[in-house]
Amino acid sequence: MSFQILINGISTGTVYALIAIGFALVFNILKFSNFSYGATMTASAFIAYFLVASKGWGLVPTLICSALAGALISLIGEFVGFRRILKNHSPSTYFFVSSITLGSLYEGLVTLKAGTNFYVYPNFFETPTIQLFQTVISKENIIMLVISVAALLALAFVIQKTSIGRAIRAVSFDRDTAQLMGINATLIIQAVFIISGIFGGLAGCFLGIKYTLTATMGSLVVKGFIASVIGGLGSLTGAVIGAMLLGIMEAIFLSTMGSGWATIASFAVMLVFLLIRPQGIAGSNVQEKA
Amino acid sequence: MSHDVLLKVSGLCVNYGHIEALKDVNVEVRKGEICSIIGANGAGKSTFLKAVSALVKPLKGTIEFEGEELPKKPYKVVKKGVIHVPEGRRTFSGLTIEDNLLVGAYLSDKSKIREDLERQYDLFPILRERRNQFAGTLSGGEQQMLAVCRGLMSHPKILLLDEPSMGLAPIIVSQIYDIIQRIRESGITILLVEQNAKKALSICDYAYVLENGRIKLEGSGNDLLNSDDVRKAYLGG
Repeated sequence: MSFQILINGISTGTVYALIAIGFALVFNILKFSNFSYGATMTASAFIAYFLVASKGWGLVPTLICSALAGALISLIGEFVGFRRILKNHSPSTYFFVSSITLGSLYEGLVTLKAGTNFYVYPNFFETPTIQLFQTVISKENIIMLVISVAALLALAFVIQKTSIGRAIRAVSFDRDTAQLMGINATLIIQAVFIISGIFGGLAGCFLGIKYTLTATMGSLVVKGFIASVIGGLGSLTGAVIGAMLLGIMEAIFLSTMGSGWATIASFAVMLVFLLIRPQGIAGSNVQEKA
Repeated sequence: MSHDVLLKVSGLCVNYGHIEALKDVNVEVRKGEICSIIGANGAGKSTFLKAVSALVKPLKGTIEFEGEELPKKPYKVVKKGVIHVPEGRRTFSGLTIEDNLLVGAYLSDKSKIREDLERQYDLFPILRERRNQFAGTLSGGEQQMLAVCRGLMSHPKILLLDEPSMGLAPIIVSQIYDIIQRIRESGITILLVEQNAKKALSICDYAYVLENGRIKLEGSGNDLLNSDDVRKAYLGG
């Protein structure tokens, strides 16, 4: 396997990791799959396109705008779509329906503004590639890799080492008991939606750079879902590992069998994997004793 | 001597849908004492504690602490110094023992956290040995100890203990009860809810008997231990 394929795979993998983590965080804390997440990515990427990139402001402002837009959309979604359902202790089907509805709404709004056209982020670099160890690598891939890794490391630090991170873990395990420790669960859930939105916004922007912006690009979120299931739902480390595997595998398939078959092949491998190990790489957490 | 009443619950009614879980319950807990609420499964004991810690919303009634009505949000109740150690330990199984304790100190003064941790480790040295292991790997008794220590991390004025003896071997239960008495000696008031009536009555200063959501009897621990009604219903004759 050439160095270039590996780099491409890792770079794609880290973007999938962002998606997977943003998805897994919300899954952990509310125990439902947030299907509005894909459309959140799309909407943030488009907002960043129209507000920043199309004005020629460069990559970093575009990313920041997309991340902030993601955080805001996610926060609004939590309030509009999920707060009351949670308060009423309604069955998780309601979360499911609510998140799908929200997602369709976001997608509809994007389509209203952007139509069904393709949009392309401007070239952020004058020379789009660099030469490294006799391989040509796109600068965008490197930037994506660096920023994604930085975001993942920052999150790992927050979750593992800080008071708010412990609170997020505690609420994810047992919301009522966490509240008995003086944790304002609503605030923690909001924080999680903000983080999830930031990751979604970054991922949306990266996907727009890698491919093109379309109103339906949110469907790529499936890659993140798969990665987090492969990793073991609920495990953040697992989600990252799953995403990297998926990214690298896709890059290999892409270079050997072309884009059409690559997608099919990687989905097939994932299905087989889940057949063999349905609990994912990380498996289940320690069970509580009576 | 009403001025030393720490927790005063008056006319408390709690409904779950159409089921009346608590009906006009009046309970007073005096400062520095161990107060018990005993009763059978489903009598409403846990509901009572959940109402105090604001996990469930009462239909009617007032809950006063230090002469002021308690807030309606669980995390605000904690700020007042009322700590509820829930039934079934409910330790965070996928967090390490130390992280469990640190979550307990969520609202505490961060500069004293090390000291507070050491105090809990002195109380239960096993927790120090296994501080970096997941709480889910502890035995039931150890988890109960962790749950109590986690509650102590926030320097409570009153500790609400929900069935600390549940599912534990008698020797472990005795250890837990020794600790409860030591906690009281350190100046923390205790409201203890138990099915294990004999154990609870033997260490408490005052007790209430809860039956089908109503207070049936109250009195000093000793009086109730010797009461015929209690003996027949809860102590096996």
